[in-house]
Amino acid sequence: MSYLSALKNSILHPTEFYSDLNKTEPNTIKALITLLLTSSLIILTIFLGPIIYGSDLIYATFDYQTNTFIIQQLTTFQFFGYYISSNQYLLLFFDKIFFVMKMWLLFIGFIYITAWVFQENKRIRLTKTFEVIAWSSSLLIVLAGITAVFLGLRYLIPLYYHYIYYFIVVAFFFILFPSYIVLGLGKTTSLSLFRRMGLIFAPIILFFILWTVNHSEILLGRLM
Amino acid sequence: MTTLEFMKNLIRHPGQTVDVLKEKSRLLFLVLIAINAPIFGLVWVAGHFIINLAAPIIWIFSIIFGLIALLLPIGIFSLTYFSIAKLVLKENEVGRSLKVTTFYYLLAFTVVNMLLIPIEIVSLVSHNYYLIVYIYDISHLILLFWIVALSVQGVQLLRKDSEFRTLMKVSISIFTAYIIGTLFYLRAAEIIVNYVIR
Repeated sequence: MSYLSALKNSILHPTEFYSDLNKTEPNTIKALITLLLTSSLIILTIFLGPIIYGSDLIYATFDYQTNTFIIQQLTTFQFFGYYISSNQYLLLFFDKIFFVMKMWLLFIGFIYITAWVFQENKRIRLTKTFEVIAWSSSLLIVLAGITAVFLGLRYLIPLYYHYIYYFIVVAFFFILFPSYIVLGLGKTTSLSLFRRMGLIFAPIILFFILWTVNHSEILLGRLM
Repeated sequence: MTTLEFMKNLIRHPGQTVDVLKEKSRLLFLVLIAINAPIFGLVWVAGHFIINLAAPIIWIFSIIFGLIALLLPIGIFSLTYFSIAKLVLKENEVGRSLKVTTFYYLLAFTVVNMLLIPIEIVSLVSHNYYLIVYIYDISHLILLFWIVALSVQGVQLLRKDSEFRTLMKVSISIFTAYIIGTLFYLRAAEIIVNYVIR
């Protein structure tokens, strides 16, 4: 199966795709390419934000959140050897892709550790976990396409398009994407449905705890 | 099986309890509401008047508010869930899935609120409000996870349909119901606290 048809199958026919994936040995290179492709498209979507919203709100929020995220602060080492100014868009683009890749690895690592703790009969492999999450992430490519559609919709329904867009983004990240991972992990592990869902929520809770480290003002802002 | 044993099993082996839920649901709903109302009322109302906890009026308020605050979101949640589930699930399965989901919603609420009480008392007495918001948000995430995970598993056991379809349909129904329920609930809680209690 060619790479492109595999990509298409992973989005359109996930059940058959993950069944086939389980029969073969993990192909880390293909998985890494998928992850890079998805990460690039996510960042491209965020860079397109200013065009959709007519302001740099999405990009500015993302930039602030990434720079103040505790993991980024602990692992950053000035990727290009010097501070990147805000108008060096291409370098910023690669820097942000690197950030997203780091977050994917953290996410996969934490899922692997949690799965290892929850394991029943069949021992889960790190390469397999990596492959499943990477192929599940291919779904987010569709989100980039939807963003492109909303670029046009902002002219047709200017008052409501961002509400619809917001719900679609939430649905992708909290319903569709976790469902794909739960399905993928179901084919490769013997974990029960309940435990597999726990594997998705555990990293979300961990990310939230890590996020709160530098953002107490946002949490407390609700009280004031 | 006693109610206590059932509750223990429900938390440890949720999948096994779905059949019992079909028979004993009315009693269990009543037990959960009876346990939850004063707890929920205490978390919210007593939280605002922690210094005056000795005043009997606060306790009466707590229980009344607890009942309203408990039944209101559950009502809205059930109604929204019912409407959306009717669209995405097969019609004859909606009633059963609603029962399972609402039950788990109530159960998750009870356990999370029980955990919130000591944390709230500590943070209010020590004036550490960051702690309470922090714990509240984390417990909300855990609550949401629990509702989704238990309901998906429960509905999956009832429907015998493909896991992926159940997962998607139940998740969509719960998330939408949860968002709408929370929005309504927050507004209602604001009105009750600001205009009725204060």
